[in-house]
Amino acid sequence: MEFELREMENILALLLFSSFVGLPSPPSDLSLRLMPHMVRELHVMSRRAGDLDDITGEIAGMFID
Amino acid sequence: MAPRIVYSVGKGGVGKTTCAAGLALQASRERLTLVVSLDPAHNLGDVLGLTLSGDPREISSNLWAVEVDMDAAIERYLADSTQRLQSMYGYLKAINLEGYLDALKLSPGIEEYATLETMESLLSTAEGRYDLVVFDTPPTGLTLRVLALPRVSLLWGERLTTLRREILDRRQVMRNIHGERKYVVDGVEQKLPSDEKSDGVMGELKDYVDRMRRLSALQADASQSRVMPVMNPDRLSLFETQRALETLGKLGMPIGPVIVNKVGLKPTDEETVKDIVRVLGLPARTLPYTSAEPVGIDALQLLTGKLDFREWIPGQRPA
Repeated sequence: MEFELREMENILALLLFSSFVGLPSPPSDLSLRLMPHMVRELHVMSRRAGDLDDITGEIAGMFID
Repeated sequence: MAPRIVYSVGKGGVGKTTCAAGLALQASRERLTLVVSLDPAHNLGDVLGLTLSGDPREISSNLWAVEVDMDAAIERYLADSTQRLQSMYGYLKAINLEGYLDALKLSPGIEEYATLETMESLLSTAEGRYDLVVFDTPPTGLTLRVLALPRVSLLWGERLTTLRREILDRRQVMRNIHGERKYVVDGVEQKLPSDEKSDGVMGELKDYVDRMRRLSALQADASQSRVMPVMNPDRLSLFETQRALETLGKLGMPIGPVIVNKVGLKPTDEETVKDIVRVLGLPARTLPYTSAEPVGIDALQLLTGKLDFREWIPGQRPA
């Protein structure tokens, strides 16, 4: 629970202030154009988001990938 | 041949639509001209005394006019974007793309991109059909953001291309060691692209960068396009014009002279015009205040007798 809370706080801060730590948002038009070509990356992102509360699984996954 | 472009830019109510219509009317004596209203609150039809629509209408010899339906343009832009996403249809369930697209309608930047796409598509249809396109622009803030888009997007496109190239370089190294890499999404096996030719992302980035580079170059080319700033002899109008011209100047856009409209209403107007010239560093042309607004083709013909609009036509030698 503590881990989940920390991750949620991190995600919110990242969404709101990422531009202040060097992660600016690109033009939404460009993101939309590139999206169809990045299905794999989206898949990974979505899986990672789901795995956030399973850090042991993530670490184990590093040895399998 | 690509049409020449004039942007009539100014604060609401200063007379930019009237000047755009006057310029278009005068230009149409010598060349095929299209005047386009991009303002969501259209009044080009009111100024011309005619009903206009989203399809160009011939309103006098050599002169066509159109009022772009911006809401429909935004819808069209989103529909096009959705279509591009169809290829990842299987994904709609997984990350709720439909909800994302609904939210996009209200996202910052979408109105600007839709306006830019509309201008681009009008210019490509105008190619070979018209010699001059006059844009009556939306309120200054939106206009500046739209005109700045090609530059900003070009910067993004170039940076992302560099990053993508680095990724592909590393993928090639990995391929040389492990052989071709594959991945499976929704049960479908696909090859992982490792060279620029087969990489869809790189292809899209290249198209995007080319498009934005072409648009930026077009904006900065004095033989192709020019900004016609319109203002009134008052301080608020001067402050806004000054800020707008500063931004447009940074984009390298050819500007001016500035039209000071409705001069003569206050005794201090002549002095204000001198201040405007000094502050903006641009020559000014003045149009006198008239009690009756110039509405309709005949009234606009009279207006072209008071001011020679030809000097704003790109590539035109001064009379």
